[in-house]
Amino acid sequence: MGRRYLSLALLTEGASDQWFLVPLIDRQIAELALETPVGFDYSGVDVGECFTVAHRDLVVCEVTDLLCYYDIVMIHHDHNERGKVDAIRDRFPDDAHRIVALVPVRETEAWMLADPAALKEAAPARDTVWEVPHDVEKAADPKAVLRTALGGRRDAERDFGRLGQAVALEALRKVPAYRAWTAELRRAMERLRFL
Amino acid sequence: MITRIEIDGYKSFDDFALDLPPFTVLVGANASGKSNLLEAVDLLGQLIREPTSQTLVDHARRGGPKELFRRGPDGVPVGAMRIAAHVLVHGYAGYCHLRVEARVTYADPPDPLRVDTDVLNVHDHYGYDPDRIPPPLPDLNLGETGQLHCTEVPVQDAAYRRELAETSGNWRILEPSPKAMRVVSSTYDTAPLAEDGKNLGAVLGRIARGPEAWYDFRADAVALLPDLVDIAVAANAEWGQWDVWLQHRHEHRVPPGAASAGTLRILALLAAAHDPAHEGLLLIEEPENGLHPTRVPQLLSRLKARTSDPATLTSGDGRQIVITTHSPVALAAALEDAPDSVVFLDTVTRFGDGLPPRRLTRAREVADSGERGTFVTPLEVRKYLDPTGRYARGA
Repeated sequence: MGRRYLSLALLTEGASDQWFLVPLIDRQIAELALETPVGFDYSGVDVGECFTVAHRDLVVCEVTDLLCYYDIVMIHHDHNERGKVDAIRDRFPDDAHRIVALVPVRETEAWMLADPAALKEAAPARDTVWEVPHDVEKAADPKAVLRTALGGRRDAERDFGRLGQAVALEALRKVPAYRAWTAELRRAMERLRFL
Repeated sequence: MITRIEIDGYKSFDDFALDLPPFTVLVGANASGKSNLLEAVDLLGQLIREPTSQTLVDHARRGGPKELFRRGPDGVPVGAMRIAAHVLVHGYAGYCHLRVEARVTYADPPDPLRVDTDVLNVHDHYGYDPDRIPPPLPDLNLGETGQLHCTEVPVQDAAYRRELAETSGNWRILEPSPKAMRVVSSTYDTAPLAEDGKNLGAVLGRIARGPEAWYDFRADAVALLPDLVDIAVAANAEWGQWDVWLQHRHEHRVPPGAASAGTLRILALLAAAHDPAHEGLLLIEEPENGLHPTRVPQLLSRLKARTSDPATLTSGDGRQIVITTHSPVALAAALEDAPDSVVFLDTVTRFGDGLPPRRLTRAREVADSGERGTFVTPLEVRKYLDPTGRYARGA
């Protein structure tokens, strides 16, 4: 049997979520791949053509397309929209195991707060550790906390890409919503026999 | 004409193979391996003619010879790299389909690298190993033209080595530089167009000596440069140089030194494709550079029209063109005009086999369906063609 490719698609709520999540997902896949018994080639996650805040029918149509071309389709929502992922999954009973929910508590920015060292790199002149709650899921407004932690030098979204590269996976593993996502991703990869 | 290229252990290539039609458009992001592929072909040509360690010193681009070897996850260069090509070579017995392979064995500095080249006919190469499946052969019209093919009439490999060396001398990378093209050319220059185009005047002078070739060249040039109404080339005996004048509509004629960068690039690429003395394989880096987007489809179409059909070749190397591009316009044009010519290059991360992850170049073609991950999907094509459109805005 020839070498297998793992292909992954991502639908997010907005464009800036992708800047953080795309490098993060690729790093998480690399970590999971350490356990692969068979080996596979991976070219990186591709983002789809609509946002998950679009009309349900449009998202379903997009997911239908993506399931044709990708092994796993990840759907991102903030946690108060969690039900939307399940509703979409219900529309694809045969492929539900290939749809993975990526749902940070409150907002994606909560995951950017998980690693003080990564924040320190983005705001070297500030001592950010004291400004970020130890349990990032308890931050009522992660966007505001992140903005403060980065010192407001510039639009925080400009740092999303680098934070996606730098935030330590070990730190993220302490975040329950992150663990839930990686567990679901692992199950999907196991089911597809990549792990 | 190269019908297939195989690369292993060179830069990001690992057991890589690509069948090459007469016209190929390599599409891909930055650092996806497009230029490395062109440079591998160029290096193979150099090694065929001069199989020595010094050749690697002289012709390793972007870093020294050591940087050519793909490095393992531990940073150690692989033990050997291999570049092979299947080449249609014209010789005394007609066309022969040869397989040439250059193998470079790594040695720690300061020992020299060891270079071995093997030439075999393609038929024999596959005949020796029953597990190998031969790639499809070019459709050579053997009966009517009287050409011979070594799959039917064995040709001793050594008999075609000289012709192979000559052929490989016409595998050339082109990346014309406007600054270089603004200097005058010597009338004694008989070389093909230089990589930076510095002898453009000499190539134009060569084309201008054949009335039909000159007409064809100008017809292509004005199709891309509608305001250019005439090009005049004359040998200046006193200075031993070519005088070139470009006449634009309602303007005074100007020498290349005063022409726009885009104009010179179009003239250079067309001149290389029309050069009557030098056929062969043109490896063109990003021909869209400096061009108005509306001219890119026409440029690709005109270049493609200059390539040869192996089925009707009766003599010579034939013309073959490989271009690299980032341009959505070039991709759209190629998909419209010659969809089979489009090859996407990208890098994948290889996991498993008990080794740390490593990055490798792969080639994929555009398709609507197939095994997931092995082809370029309509979604990828749409995103490439419309980077600021629906995809970027979301819905």
